[in-house]
Formats: sequence, structure tokens, C-alpha cells
Amino acid sequence: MACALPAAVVAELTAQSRAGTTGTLSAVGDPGGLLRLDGGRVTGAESPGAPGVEALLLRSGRVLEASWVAAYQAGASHGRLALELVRRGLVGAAELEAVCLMALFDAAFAIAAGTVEECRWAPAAPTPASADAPTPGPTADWPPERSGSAGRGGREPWTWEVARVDVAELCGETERRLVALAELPTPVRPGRDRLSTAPAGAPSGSTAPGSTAPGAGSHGAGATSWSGTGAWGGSGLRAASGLRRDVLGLADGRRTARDIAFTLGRGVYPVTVEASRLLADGLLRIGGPSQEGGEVRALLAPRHAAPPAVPATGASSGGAHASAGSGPDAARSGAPAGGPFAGPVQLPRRPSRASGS
Amino acid sequence: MSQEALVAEIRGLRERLPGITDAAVAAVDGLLVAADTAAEVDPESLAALAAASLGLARRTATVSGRGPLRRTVTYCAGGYAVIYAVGDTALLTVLGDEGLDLGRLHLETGALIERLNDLLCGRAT
Repeated sequence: MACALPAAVVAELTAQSRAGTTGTLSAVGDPGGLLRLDGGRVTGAESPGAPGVEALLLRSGRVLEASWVAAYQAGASHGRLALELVRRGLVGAAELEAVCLMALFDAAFAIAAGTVEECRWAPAAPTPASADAPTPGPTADWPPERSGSAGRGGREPWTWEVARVDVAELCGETERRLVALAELPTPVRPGRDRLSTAPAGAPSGSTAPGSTAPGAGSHGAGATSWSGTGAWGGSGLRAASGLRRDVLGLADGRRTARDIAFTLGRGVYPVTVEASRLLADGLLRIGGPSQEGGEVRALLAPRHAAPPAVPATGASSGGAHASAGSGPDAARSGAPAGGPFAGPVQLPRRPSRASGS
Repeated sequence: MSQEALVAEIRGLRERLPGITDAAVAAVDGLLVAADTAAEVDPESLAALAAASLGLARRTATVSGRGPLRRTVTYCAGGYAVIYAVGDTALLTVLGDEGLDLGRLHLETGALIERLNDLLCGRAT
């Protein structure tokens, strides 16, 4: 894992910052992300690898969904969502600023902790007064769906009025986080390593059903249950509390640290650090699911795997689709009959396109 | 053999794209074919609801004269539920969190749906 933002990103950011420009730097990669600049200062960072301000406030339960929607309706169209949130007393001004800054640094961390293949600068869209100016290159191939409804491109620029940091500060903070993570004995890659609770034999071994930590709440209900007593019983580990407990409750072998951060509405950096510590303590491990609940299942045989008699009869009414539609029924009831007359009798039972177009 | 390939395809999708939490392949009648879901999600119910949504969306597309249906996206406060038709007889449903990049998902699923269709129709090599 790199210990700083990729050089290409830093170079582009620094150049644009010196020029005092406004626009968006998009880092293409896994998970990649966007960095917004306004007048040479960073006003926002968004990445699929880190929860945004909205996710942090809503998923954590800090702001209720209904209140958020009301504030959004009232303020978003005028670019005053932040003002509305504070005016309605949903969050304090300082708190909102802190959350916005945290989301910004967190997204930069997620971008830097992953891989960046390419770095594209897109100047801000021309103001309505000069809208007839030709669109610059990078924005032309920008998929509209991505910037519009993807939830990241179009929904969070409102944070520009709240958080605003210098490029040097952003790079410094990102580096500090990456270095701190790399110094842990077993750093977890936030978007890559799938976490599961340690197998039986480890301190957390025998799990008692229904002992999922209360903090994990509804999202932890069906996940790998983790026994509190087991976890600090054997090796004198400190009692798991807060984030530590939540991370343990959600590590089901499918989720990465990034997924857990989204589920909890916490920053991906603190979750990654906590997961790395749990890994070092032997309570978590990287890799496959420890229980069958998280396994991939193929529950029905594919339709073409029906007994040979069925496709043969289906051929009379047009190939794969017909046999696909009548597959399961035919397979179930067709087996005892088995004879050459079985197929035609069953064919009309289900028109192949009944529930489609 | 192709059943394993089917499972590998939908698992691979989740591993390629950050933000995908669950995925399932079902027949348009709502019968589950393969699922890659977390313990909290009931794959049978997901398949049944996805089939119902796809049927409604197809009819809506026809009645409203907007051309063929491309996909169905349900926007939720905490993420998305996306449904793609796989040929005429099956569907792919994908659940994601707020971080899921829908644009990238649509790009990724284009070729995937072709492959799923081939697998389901027994045309895969």
C-alpha cells in the first residue's frame, strides 16, 4: 500500500492549486474518486471507497431520513443544504464542518489506499452566462449517469461552503493516515481484504447464538454472531466496545473494511485501523466466510440441465426459450412418465413469455 | 459445470466493483437460480420481488412507448437495487450501498449479461 497520494494526483492538484482554478480532478482507479477544487482550494473529495457526508450522518442515525429529506427539499436547489441542516437544528455548525472535513480526508485516504490508473482534470462547467462556450475535452466523455444520479457526482458539492482545505494540508493528512496504517503490524487494505471472524480455536472460538453486540443492531442480526465472553476470555484482551465490537459483528467474510464503514456510517480510515488491530489480536482474519450464511449459492440447476427428454420436446416450439420456460415443471413431473408422450402433453402448461413482455 | 461458472460470474462482479453487497440471478417467474447474498438478505424473496419489478417495468416501458426497457433502478436512502433482464427468461439483480457507482455498474454488466445468458441457455463453451 502506498504511503501518500499517487504522485500524478499530487502533481495535478498542486498545479491546479497554484493556478487557483476551479474544477474537478477525477482519479480513475479502484476505488478511484473525485477531488473538487474551488479557487485552488479543495472543497470536497468523494470516492466509492469512503462514505460521504450524507452516509455518515444518515447511516449513523445522527440525522433522521425524514429530516434530511425535508432539509434537502428546502435547501438543495439553492445550494443551501448545509445552511438548512444547521438552521433546522439537525446538526451543529461546527459538527457539520467536522463531519465534512472528515469525509473529505477519508475519501482522499480511500483513493490513495487503492490504485489510481489515470488522473483527469475537468475545469468547472461554464456559468450560465457563458454556457455557449465549447465544453472542454474531459467533460465531454463524462458519462451523464455518473455525474447525475450516481449519488456521488451530483449530490455532494454542497459541502463546498462548509469544508475548504489547502492542497498541502490534504496531502499531509492523507500521508499521515497511510503511514499510521502502514505502521500497524497487520495493515488491512480497506477496499480489498474481506474480513471474517477468526475460526474456532482462536480466542473468539465458540460463538453463542444471539450474542451479537447490541451496537451492531439490526445490521448485525443475521451476520456472524460473535461471543463477547470468548473474545476476551482466553488471552486477556481488553473488552471489545464501540467501534471494535461493531466491526467484529459485521465481519462476515463478505465485507471489506470499506463495506463495514458504509454499513456503520463511520469513516473508512477508523474502521480500517480498528480492523487492522483486530487482525493483529487474532480476532479477525482475512479471507473466506467462516459460516455458510455468506456463501455463494446456486440453488436450482440451470434450466438446460433438465432431463434429455424435455429439450427434445421443446425443440418443436422454438429452442432455448421454450425449454427454459417449461424446465422446472417438466423436470419435476416429467421424470416418472419418462416415455415419448411425456413432453407434448406438458408443453402448453406455461407460455414461455407469460411474465415477460 | 456451467452452474459453477454462473456463480463465479456473479461473485466476480461483486469483487470487481466496490459497493456491491449482494447479487442474484433468477428466472423471470421469480425462481432463484443462483445467489451471492449476505445472511440478512433472503435470496428467494429478492428473486421474487425482482421478477415482479422487472415484469412491471417491462409493461410500463411498453405502455408508455419509451422503447425497450434497459434496467430498473430502485433508489433508497442507503443504496440501490438494480435489476437487469438477462434475455427473455432470466434476470440479474444487484444490491449496492451509497458508494456504488451506477455508471460503472451499467458498463460492467453489459458483457456480464451476455455471458449469463449464454450460460443459462447452455451456449457457453
